[in-house]
Amino acid sequence: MDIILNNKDNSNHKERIKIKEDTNIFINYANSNTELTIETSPNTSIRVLDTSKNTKNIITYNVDKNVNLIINKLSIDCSDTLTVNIKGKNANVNINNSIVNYKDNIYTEKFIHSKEDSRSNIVNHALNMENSVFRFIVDGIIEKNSSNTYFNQENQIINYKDGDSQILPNLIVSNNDIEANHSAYVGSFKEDYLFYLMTRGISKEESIKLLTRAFLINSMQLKDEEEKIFNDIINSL
Amino acid sequence: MLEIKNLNVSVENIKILNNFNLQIKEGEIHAIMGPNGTGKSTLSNVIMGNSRYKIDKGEIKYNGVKINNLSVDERARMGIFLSMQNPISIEGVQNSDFIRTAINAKEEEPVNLYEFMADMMRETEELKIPEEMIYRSLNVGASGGERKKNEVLQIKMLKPSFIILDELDSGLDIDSLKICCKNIKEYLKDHKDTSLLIITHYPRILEYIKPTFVHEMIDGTIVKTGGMSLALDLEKHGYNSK
Ligand SMILES: Nc1ncnc2c1ncn2[C@@H]1O[C@H](COP(=O)(O)OP(=O)(O)OP(=O)(O)O)[C@@H](O)[C@H]1O
Ligand SMILES: [Mg+2]
Repeated sequence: MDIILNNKDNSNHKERIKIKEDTNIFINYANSNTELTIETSPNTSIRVLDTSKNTKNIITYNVDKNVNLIINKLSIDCSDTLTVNIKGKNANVNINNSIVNYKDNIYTEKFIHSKEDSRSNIVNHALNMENSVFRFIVDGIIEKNSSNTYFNQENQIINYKDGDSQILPNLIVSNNDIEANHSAYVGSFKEDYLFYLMTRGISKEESIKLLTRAFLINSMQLKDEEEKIFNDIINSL
Repeated sequence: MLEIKNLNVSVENIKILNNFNLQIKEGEIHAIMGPNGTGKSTLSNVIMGNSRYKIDKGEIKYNGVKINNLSVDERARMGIFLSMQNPISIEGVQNSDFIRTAINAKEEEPVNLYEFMADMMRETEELKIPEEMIYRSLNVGASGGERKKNEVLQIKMLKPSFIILDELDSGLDIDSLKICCKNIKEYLKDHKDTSLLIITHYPRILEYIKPTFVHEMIDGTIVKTGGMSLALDLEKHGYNSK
């Protein structure tokens, strides 16, 4: 089934959703600080497409056993707090968060693995467009009962101007039988990239657009219609 | 076509080109040979407009227009193409997307997608480039030789009128060099006004693509000009032998 969440200009709204079957969720909040909790049921697949703008949401996913959760997010100005509780065996979580940042924002994420044989793969990319503050705060907590867990996170921020960008990763591991990786990079678009594209006649603006698109959605495995939605956002930047 | 007069260029305040002069007419093929660090790639970068290289004096004219202050993309759209000594890779920028964007930047009407793909298929086959490369990120995971072939693919797709080959031959195996040169020669046959500047250390590439002039370049300037025999002579005796 499909669920569409598009709260706009709304504060202190609370929502709790229980997923019972395979579900697509479209989140398109704007100017909101919603508290959203998503409860899953075992053996379900959940695919989330998030195009929210200017939010301070608190979003929590409680992930049951054998759940396959995929989140692809392309958001503008996001100070959300995302918590993913991986409470079931064999759960598989894939998250791509791409943020375009104009104002000062802190995006906080917490991933808690509390059962064995679960996997999570998180890619956080942000493009800091102005001279503003942006933070990724990413906590990974792997509890004692979570043997054979795989936790991977990759964080990157590209400063378009002289933004104050930082990545603050934190990993607490209480089990030895796991694999955890993380990487962090803050930088700018390489001059060499721009030069190469421009030597083929592509204008600077268009070159930056190509690089932006690559940076924001390359790591996502999008369906055609999802890619179209994200492309429209990128073209309107 | 290209006219360079008294060009002085520095990189990070170090003088590299020194009163450099060169004139290339329509349809001519020029070769430049010279020791490492003499400024050959600097020359190609400065013709292309790389902002790291500063013109202290002199001028570059292309088809009668002074291009010293034009941006890189403007020069490219005028028909100048630089095949780079070390082509970079860019994750997430798809080869076909990139080439199509480049063609569209030059043309008034966007290229027909079907025709574009048909051209890409044909040219990759001509160059013996695996077809899946079309859909891969630009040069990601590509070997040195494959990257050079991709430069030649772009020449054939973008149809420039002045082409600089900065050490096309380095990184290409014997067969691949033959294939690339064959493709370039065919291109020149169909585009008779196109001129070529070949930067190389070895006469082999010049045996495939016969130069009109060969120049010996030392310390940022041309010290001797001749024909093919100069290239063979340089290979035999080294640079700056009297
Ligand atoms: N971007 C740069 N930054 C600093 N120094 C540079 C840069 N580009 C070139 N140089 C310097 O300028 C000089 C000329 O370099 P260039 O690459 O033009 O030589 P070349 O003739 O192409 O040599 P090769 O045959 O090895 O390719 C060298 O001393 C090099 O170190
Ligand atoms: Mg060089």
